[in-house]
Amino acid sequence: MEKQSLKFFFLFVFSLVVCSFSGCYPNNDEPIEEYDIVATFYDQNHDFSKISTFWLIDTVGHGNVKNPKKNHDQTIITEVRRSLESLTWTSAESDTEADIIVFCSVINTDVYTYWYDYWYDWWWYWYGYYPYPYYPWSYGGITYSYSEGTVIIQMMDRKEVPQDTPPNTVVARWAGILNGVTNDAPANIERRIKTGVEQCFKQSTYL
Amino acid sequence: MKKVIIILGLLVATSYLSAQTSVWKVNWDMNAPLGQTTDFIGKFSMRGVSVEGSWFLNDNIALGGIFAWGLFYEKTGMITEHAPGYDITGHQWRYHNFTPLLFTGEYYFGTAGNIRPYAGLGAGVSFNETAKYIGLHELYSKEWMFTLAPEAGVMIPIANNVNAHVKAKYLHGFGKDADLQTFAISVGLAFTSYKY
Repeated sequence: MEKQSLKFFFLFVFSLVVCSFSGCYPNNDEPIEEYDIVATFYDQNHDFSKISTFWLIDTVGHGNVKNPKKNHDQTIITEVRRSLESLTWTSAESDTEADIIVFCSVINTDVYTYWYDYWYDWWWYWYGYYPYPYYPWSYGGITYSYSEGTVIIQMMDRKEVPQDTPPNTVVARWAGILNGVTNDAPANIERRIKTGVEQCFKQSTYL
Repeated sequence: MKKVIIILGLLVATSYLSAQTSVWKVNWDMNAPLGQTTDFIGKFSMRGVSVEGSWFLNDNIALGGIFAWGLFYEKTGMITEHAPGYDITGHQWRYHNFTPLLFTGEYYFGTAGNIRPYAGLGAGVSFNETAKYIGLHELYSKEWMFTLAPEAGVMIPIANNVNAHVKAKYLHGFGKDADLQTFAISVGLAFTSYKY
């Protein structure tokens, strides 16, 4: 290639690569509720068609967490009860008379993470050969945190719950899980819980 | 495989030293997913580049290689995926990166300095990487695939040793679970050597 062409060639390659890579990955700056997921798990061998009564434990579990956030407990119980009734199931007079026992629990976690560009990644590997620790984040990047909340709804067959055994040893035959970011206004969280609980039952067409 | 690489290398080096005729192409690739690739992402993509170089064995036949990169992206909206024993609903962000690295053989019609249509075949490997984000969770997989890529294009002289270049390429990577299938239209520039 002639010198002139060679220059032009490298300039063109450089321009094309810069233009392409500058827009290579679409931005994920999306509304917070778009990160919500609803997952339901079920025992394929269980006959859900015979269920007509339920017993909903009206206390939401928070595990062994000290000072748990209980702001949305009542909303969870209300929405789960509403969804169970929409299946034409009725609330039993006592737990011993119900076909299923329903128990709700909540897990809140704070997530701390660090985002850095691939450039920093390569930089880190390069300098990793030196006998001292190298911290790529001193050159840029973003540290961010968010709170993640998970609501778990579990259904247990009442007949499988022995009276002399704590309920937590019983296998759930159905479980619904809502998961999402909870850095949001309380009213929005309430709305997202409602939508999520409804979706749990909507996608469980076998109930 | 090793022997083939050595023979190809010798052929390329010999032709380059004897005639110094080569062509380098830089392309912007626009990719459309086909076949099994559409099961993951069905959306056309403007994100792709490729660089290729070929050395002429004679006036019409050239051997070389191509390195390309392409990305398919699709945001699905809220969908429910069903599987035995569980169902998951959420917005999904799907990414499919593919990076073919192929040896190429091309046959050029016409003569040097004029419009030159050509047809060729590429063979080699592709690095295939898919990522699916559902909510805060990621499902990721990667795979190297044996790849074949027939193509046809044309070079149109626009300046001394510089040509406008357009080509169409079908690419097929053979995967374990799903194949990589794309159709690309590439536009760019082709830079020819002095004696070409």
